[in-house]
Amino acid sequence: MKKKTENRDAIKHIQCSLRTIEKVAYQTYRLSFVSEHLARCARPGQFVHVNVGGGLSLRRPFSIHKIKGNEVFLLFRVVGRGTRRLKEYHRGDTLDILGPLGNGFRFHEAHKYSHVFLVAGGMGVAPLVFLSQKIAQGTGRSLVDAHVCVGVKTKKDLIAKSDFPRQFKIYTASDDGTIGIKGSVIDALEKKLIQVKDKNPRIKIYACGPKPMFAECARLLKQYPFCDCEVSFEQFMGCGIGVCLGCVIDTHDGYKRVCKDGPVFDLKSIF
Amino acid sequence: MSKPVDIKVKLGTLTLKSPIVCASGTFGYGLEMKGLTDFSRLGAFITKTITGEPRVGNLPPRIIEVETGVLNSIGLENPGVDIFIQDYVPHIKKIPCECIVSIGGHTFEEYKEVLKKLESVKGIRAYEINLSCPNLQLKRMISQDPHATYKVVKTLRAKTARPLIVKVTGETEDIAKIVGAAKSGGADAVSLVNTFFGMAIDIVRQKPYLGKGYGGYSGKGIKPLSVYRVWNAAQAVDIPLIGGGGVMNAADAIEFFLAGAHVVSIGTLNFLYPNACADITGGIIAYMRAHKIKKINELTGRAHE
Repeated sequence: MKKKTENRDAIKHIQCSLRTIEKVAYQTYRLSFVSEHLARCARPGQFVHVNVGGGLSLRRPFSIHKIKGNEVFLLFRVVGRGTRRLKEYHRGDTLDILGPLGNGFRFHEAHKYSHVFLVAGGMGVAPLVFLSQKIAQGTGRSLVDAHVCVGVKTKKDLIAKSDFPRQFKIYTASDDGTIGIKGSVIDALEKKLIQVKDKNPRIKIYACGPKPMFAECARLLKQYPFCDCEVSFEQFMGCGIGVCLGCVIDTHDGYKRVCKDGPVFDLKSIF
Repeated sequence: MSKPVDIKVKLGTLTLKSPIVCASGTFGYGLEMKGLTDFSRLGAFITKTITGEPRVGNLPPRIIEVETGVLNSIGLENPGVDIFIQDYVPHIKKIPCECIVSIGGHTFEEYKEVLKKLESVKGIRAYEINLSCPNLQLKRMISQDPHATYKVVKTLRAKTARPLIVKVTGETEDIAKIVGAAKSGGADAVSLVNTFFGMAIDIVRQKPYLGKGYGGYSGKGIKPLSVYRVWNAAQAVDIPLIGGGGVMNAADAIEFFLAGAHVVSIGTLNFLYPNACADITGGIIAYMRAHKIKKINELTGRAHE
């Protein structure tokens, strides 16, 4: 058995006091809490599994949005019972958290590429802010070209834009054309790829968003073979720590657990 | 200083230091739970079911929360008995807790084959025979058929001296007949219940949530169904019962003891609280002290009196 123990010791069951919670867009909230442990151990792309209480039977996974000192931020949209409950939390309430969980993005590899693109579809922007922080910290000077492509339905859904470090150039796309180009985030990405394709680039794409976006990403990868791409997946989840085998997705290498083998996968292993 | 209480329980020749065990499939093979659960307070941990050949499991999505619990259709995904012995058992041996290995199979022969291979492996303290998975020959679960239940248990009994725990479904016309058959076959204990069949449909996509369509329903919603089946089983046989199904706290566990369980298994709750088994053990000790109960077996079946 390949032992995946590199971060197992770092998984902890912790109680954290909620520090801030604010509405940042329609049905979208950002909260923060203090955790030295997560601030020290968490890698971008990892997530926390939150017991939101209220008699719910399972925890809810949230990717780590950003970290500022010892303050950990989560970004979430209200989509079901768990998030409906979480938005009712107040400053000082206790959050019951398991984390950090999952594998995370291979952010150390960013500097090996001539261009880095972070591609966010909707709430997929959540983990990419933390990723951009880490990339900027680790490779700030050597990074030639760092870009963020953000896709939203409409202008008022655009969030977290100001959280990306200065090194990152931001391109937006909206379904209704109220901000950025009219079209999808993949259209925005492709536009940039066309601009650089003759410069002999080596491009790394880190993406998070809905599954159809990944299928489109896979199409681009075939068309622009100088790109590598890591994507963060979502799936209904049980335990979050790899025991229940509930959250698997189909890969070329068989079923893989999103919570333990992922949530970040090489796109080529899926499509 | 409060008086010590005796929470030890015997399952055949095996003595458990606590009457709380984790249900198969909710602790994996124990490795991922390290650091998140206090194994020293657990009576035993029961592995995820092992089959003869590796199983890839069911089409995702495999798990979904519903109002009163959880639906899952994992499909017994496991690496098969050979890989289990080679790669997992060495790690399991280091876990400070009795290990019970759950055995499953599509055919009667597969059960025999798995048990035969495990017999030479040290560190396994007992077997839980999972008779609540679909059987290819019967076209239903073995534990829905008293004759088949008897036949499998009898066959396996002849091949091992280790304690045999027989895990049965609650989805049967007469649970008394099934546990009776398990006892006649030579079971040391019966474990009940497994999940109940259930389904949830996404009204946006107008399709079932689970990839397979239906799945096993667990969690708080099944507790009254489970308590009732343990009650009936306790009236039918005098061998130890591992009762469970929907236990969410120590009070729920105590209901199962009162219904006739000697040991209580914790399942879905482990996903919410990885240390649930240890916490519930603490709650049971507190209850015993408050009610001046010295030995846990004084509690077993008390509601029948």
